[in-house]
Amino acid sequence: MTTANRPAARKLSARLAEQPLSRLAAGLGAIVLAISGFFGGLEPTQVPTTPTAVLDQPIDAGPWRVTIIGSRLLGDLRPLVSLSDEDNHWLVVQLTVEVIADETWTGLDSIVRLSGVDGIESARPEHVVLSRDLTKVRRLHPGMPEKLSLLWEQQGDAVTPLQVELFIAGRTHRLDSLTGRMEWKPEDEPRALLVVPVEDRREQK
Amino acid sequence: MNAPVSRHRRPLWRIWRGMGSVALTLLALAIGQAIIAATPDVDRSERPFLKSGPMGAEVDARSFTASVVGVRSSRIIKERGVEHDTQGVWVVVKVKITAGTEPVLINYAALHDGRGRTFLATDRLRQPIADAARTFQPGIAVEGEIAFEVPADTTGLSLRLAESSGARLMDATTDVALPPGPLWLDPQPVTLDPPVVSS
Repeated sequence: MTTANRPAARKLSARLAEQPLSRLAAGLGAIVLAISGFFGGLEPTQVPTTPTAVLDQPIDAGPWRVTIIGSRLLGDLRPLVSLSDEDNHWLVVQLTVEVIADETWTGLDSIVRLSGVDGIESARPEHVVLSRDLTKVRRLHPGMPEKLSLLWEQQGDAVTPLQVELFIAGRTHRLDSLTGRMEWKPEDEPRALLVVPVEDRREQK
Repeated sequence: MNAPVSRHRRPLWRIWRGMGSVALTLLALAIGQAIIAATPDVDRSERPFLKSGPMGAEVDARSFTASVVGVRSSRIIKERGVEHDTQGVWVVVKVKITAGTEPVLINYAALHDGRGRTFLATDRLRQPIADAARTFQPGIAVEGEIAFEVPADTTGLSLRLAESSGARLMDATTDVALPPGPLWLDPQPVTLDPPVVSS
């Protein structure tokens, strides 16, 4: 700084020092915001899109790891489950689920959501069946992946799908703001989306 | 008479004083955060009370007492003529339960292993005394079995029973260690014994 600029600089610093702190803080914040614009700070946020997955691809979704195997239409499955109307049929999604959390997991019907299928009452399956011995289950234990079948009853007069959209739900282990405890909380966005072809096996037993 | 403060020092003094306020505020926040970090969180402060005891001994779980009478294990469990196999091991624990002063339901039954994993009683078959299947009356000891499905490589199992389910906040829970070492597998399918009143 030259001798001629010193009085001007001293005058500027003196004027700055005389400003209220709140005004100085606001000015500093504006400068930081402007600088951040050069590093993408003012870019519009990206809307998250659901990642797509394919058959036989393991998907980590928090407390569980899911692998979709396939989907089919089936007819009468008595005595395991009964249709509410004999003209209806079952839409079945087969998958492998491994509990990777440290405790038995219940709520198996919340892992997969069905979308865009006509004649289905709920996105959640009505039954969860263990393929090993065809028992209906609600619990799956850590360290033992099992093949499951999820069942939805479809109206007989509805359009039978050639393919279905499946959303894999995820959970995050985080602090619950109400209870103060660490819990597996549902995520707003699904972990993955799959489009699965449907085999029609209603005539087969 | 004090010399007057020079004019160019007064604004600088205000800035120093402001920065000092900010620093003290940050210090107070840091101290508060340190206190929060040092105190137990809710999960720890409200965790269940584990009541330990050896096999065969009665363990007091506040509203009931329980003792582990025996343990069996197999690869196949049979119920109503249907065999259920497993990729792991079936562990069948025989317990004697006596309700305290009021009728009790056992809503929580689990095996806890040495790796910190928890395995709830299986729902692949009907449990005769777990999952609130039976009401235990005060003073009447009942022996019954509970079936669990665990991985074949699990070790350090202990039985945990409680009246309440879910988080079991600050509730008493038994914690009885099962025999250590590899589980001996019965080559024959096992069947759960029906509950009996114990003398």
